[in-house]
Amino acid sequence: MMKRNPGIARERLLRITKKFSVEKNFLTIFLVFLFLGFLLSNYYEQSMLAISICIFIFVSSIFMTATSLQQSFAVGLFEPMKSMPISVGRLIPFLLLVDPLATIGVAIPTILGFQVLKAILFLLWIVFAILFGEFVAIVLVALLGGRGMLGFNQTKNFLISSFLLLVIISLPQIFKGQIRLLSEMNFVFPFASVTTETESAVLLLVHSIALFTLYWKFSTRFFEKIFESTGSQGKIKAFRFSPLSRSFSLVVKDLKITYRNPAGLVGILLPVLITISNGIAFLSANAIIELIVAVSSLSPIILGLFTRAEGRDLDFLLTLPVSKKEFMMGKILSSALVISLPSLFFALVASFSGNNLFVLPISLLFPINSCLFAGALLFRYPSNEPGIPSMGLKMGSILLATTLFLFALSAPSIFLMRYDASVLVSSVLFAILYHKIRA
Amino acid sequence: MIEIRALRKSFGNKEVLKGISLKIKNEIFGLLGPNGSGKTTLMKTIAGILKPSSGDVVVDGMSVVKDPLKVKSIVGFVAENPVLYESLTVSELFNLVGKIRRLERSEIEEKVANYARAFEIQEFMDSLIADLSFGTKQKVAIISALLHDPKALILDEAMNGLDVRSAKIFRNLLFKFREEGKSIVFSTHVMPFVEVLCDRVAIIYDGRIVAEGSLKDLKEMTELRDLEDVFLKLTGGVDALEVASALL
Repeated sequence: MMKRNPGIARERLLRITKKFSVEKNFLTIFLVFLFLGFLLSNYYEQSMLAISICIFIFVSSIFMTATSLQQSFAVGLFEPMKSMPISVGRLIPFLLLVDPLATIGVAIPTILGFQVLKAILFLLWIVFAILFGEFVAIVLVALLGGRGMLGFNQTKNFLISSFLLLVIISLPQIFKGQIRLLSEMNFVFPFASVTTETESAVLLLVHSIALFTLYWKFSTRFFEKIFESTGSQGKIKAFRFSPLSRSFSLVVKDLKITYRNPAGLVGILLPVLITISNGIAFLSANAIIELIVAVSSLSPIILGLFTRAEGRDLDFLLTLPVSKKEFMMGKILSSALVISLPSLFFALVASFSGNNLFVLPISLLFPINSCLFAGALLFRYPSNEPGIPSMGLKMGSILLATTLFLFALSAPSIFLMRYDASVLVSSVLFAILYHKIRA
Repeated sequence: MIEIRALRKSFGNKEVLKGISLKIKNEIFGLLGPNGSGKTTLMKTIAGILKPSSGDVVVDGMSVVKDPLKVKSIVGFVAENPVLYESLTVSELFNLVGKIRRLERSEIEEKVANYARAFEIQEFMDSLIADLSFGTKQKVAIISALLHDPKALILDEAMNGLDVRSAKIFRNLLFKFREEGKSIVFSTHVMPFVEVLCDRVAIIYDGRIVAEGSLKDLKEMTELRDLEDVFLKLTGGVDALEVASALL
């Protein structure tokens, strides 16, 4: 990465890269989930929470394993293993357990509230949930393709990723209603029995034996399927040059490489799904500006996603006459497009419902301005070459700065109900930011 | 013409290129060197991908230090391991290259059709690059580098993975480009390629040029008849060869 990004080849980056450790990463994830666990334990009844946590960990394990697998194959991490005399199908699942195991943190506060035997059983169910989630992810990746394939399989990737994200986002609703129903389907849905000791122990044993058998019998075959390359020959078609402009060709490239990458796709779906799941509530409360601000504040994250998606492919872009500004504008436009669409959709709904029509330009100006602002901050590095800027702590301060920026933009609308003033300020800022970036 | 002037390149504390000066005219110029000698770093610096720590590279009157984008617009670069956008199809990649290089529609469509037919990749045009074999990816990388009719070609072991037919077509293309007045810098470990292709050769060792000239000049200088022996003598490989022979 140092060689590929001469513009950010600083000594500090080298020191940071050398300091990265699996243990620190594990601890960070564990602590984040521990914090989440304490938050949840304050709001929900213990037995219901235990079941919900198992579901949450199960789904998280599927998601983390699928994205880790996909990213690992994208960078060729397992290629050296193929020629070695080791059972890859048995080794890789162990390696992939690191991140999902850290999610145990969310269960610690609940475990502490149980008696010893129940606590041990609950912990064993969590381990089962992690392993089961991992197995499901391996099956999904084997059946649907690890690197992304054209046509029907891309649609399946899209749907699976959307579903997983919707489940994680909708967990508060699951906590409230569905668990009582599921507790009557113990054998089919084993997590529902986690708090009944005898039943729980028996079911845990039966399901563990079944899972272990499936793992031992099929994991090698699934990884063989993942490793083999897919068929690539098709009909001969004449090459047609696209009518897109030069700038938009970079945007389309970004959208395609991110869409075809399940991990990237999930990240891009995030603002869309958050907006959809909360949009009705915001509209009912006549808080359309707040909704637009909430979605727009995700711009640094989406921008970071699109930028990181270049990965090692950046080496190819560096052989082409693309300036840093063009590269940056491509990322900004891609991010603005993703964030603007749900924002515009709900603004249209709000305006048809009798809201001020100025909401429509606001729904475009806020996302575009926040992407321009975040981009100007993110791509501040000395070189004039396209590159992947260092993120991490810097991303935190960019998020904060972007949120404050949006707050300032939206203040006339929220506090003075002067939507026209927000449009005016946003338009002026757009002109200034655009000119500054393109200059 | 490519002119390399007192070029130095460091990565952190490690100096990889230690003051290289070369002039490459309208010829096929071979660059030979053992692994880790600085070949790829030199090739990437000429292509404008890496910035020199000091010194300069001037390609057709344009400086890599002052005008890297202009240099990239007239140079075609093919890497040793083809790095392409794996999530794009071959067609999409050619579209992207054509747009960035501002090619005309008729120009690029004709070139893609001709090169795809010559290198036999027509049936892969709608395939994801990730799903292609190494050799096919290399063909895609080569075509991408040729679409804009570059004035200089920088080829870092570009013939790796090519089948016999494609390698022959590519060699004939290089001869044609030379006749058209282009400069071609070509690195390889395969000595027979050098013997067939190159007008002149430079040998790089530990970041320095240790010899430069026509094949005849180098053989006379070292009093050896075989290019492989010339290379080993100039890069300190003779001792290693004796050690390897003793092991057998």
